[in-house]
Amino acid sequence: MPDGDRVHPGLTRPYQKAYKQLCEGQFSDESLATEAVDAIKRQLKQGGDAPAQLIAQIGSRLEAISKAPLLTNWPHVSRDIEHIVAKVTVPKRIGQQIVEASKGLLYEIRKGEAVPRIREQFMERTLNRVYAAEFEQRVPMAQHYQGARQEDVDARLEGMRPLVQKNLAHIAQQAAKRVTFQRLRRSPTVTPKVNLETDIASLN
Amino acid sequence: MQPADYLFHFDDLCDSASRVQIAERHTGRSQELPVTIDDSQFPHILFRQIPSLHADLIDLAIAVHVADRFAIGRADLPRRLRVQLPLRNRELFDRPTVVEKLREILLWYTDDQWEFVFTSRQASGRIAERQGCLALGEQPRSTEVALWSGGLDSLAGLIQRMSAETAERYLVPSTSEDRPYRFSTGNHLRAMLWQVRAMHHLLSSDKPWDSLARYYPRLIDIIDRTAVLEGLTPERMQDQFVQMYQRYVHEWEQVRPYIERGLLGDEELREAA
Repeated sequence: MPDGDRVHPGLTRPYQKAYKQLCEGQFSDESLATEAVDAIKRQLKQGGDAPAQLIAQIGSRLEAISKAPLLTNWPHVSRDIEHIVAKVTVPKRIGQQIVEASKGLLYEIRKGEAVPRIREQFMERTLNRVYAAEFEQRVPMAQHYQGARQEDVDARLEGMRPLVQKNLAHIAQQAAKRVTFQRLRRSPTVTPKVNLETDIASLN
Repeated sequence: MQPADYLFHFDDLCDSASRVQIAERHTGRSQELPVTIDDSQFPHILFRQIPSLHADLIDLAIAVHVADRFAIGRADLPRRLRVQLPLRNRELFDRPTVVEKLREILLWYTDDQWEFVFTSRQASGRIAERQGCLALGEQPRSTEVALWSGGLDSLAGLIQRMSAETAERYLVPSTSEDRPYRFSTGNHLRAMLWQVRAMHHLLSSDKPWDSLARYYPRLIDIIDRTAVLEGLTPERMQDQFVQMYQRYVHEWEQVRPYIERGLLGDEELREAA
């Protein structure tokens, strides 16, 4: 089946390949995570830089609030965030996750928790939410591609999750710093040295 | 404000087919569609004419539905929709607080920008507004319309209504028929299983409310925006949320066998067995 085919009706096109690999079973957690992160990067790139700029704008606001939280009208700020997002043309699916991530951070600031590097945190949480909403939560299906069992698919999702999160943290750092979703680099992968003594089964 | 992507210009909505003109800004195309409202059954249920305010609300609901259905979004970007609609109580709907609330609710549900221009209705009311119905014969069986989004919250709500026997019959329209989980009968169930698992995980922590609020921060908005109206303290509402979701998760295993039968196809049921 060619890569372009749509094999999961609930996933958007960038995530189809990651899903196929997830079902096929022979791919390592690293490969699966790489494919999923590439899909997120494609989705972000397609949405232009408006979401990154929006995150920077709301992030600055959250930073200011965290420095002087005492006089903050929390419900008012929460509503304000919705209004800020509504005024900007960003893809809905990303916009929703920006709202959710910002409100999560706002809750922590409201509780008096220290949130270091707010803008980076905000970007990272948004990307993690995008991953969960666009891929992880949409994968469950009654009959999977190539008859993969739901239990196996779940186990692979569990296995790849920490690697996806690590990669997204790396990407978020760049995106928050440069305020763009263009030309984002994945975290470098360490290629194991292979020689005659190497146990092939230990390689991913 | 940026110009609207779509303009929907409704004529007075009457018993016979009325018109709506749809203009699309990007392509410059416009088209005209017939819209028909059949609310003639309402007097038979209410045994009286429907009040003009209710008729306005029906018109508004139809206008929003038509606009939502016929405005095609581009690349997942929010749509900007402008609806011009004649109403009987225009001065009421023109109030800034009403317009603002309407826009806010629709933004919440659709993530789109809505703009309304209300004009005065010229035509006389529909038959349902003018002609009542005598309470003769058999009382109609009570039917409750219960929206089911395909998720756990709405399912739990439906079960609660049915347990309380609030009506004899329940009409359950699902809004998810053309949503992601559409090609296989078991997908609603899978989505709910996912929710139950996530919820179970969150509620198992030392601070269940805290976990819930971090994962679903909109719950905090719900409390901030409704606690005063409900006459409850925020802490009390937090407890109630936690208890409600704990109950859902607890009851899930009890109702699952019954729900499964309805949500899985024969083949999938055989597999599950």
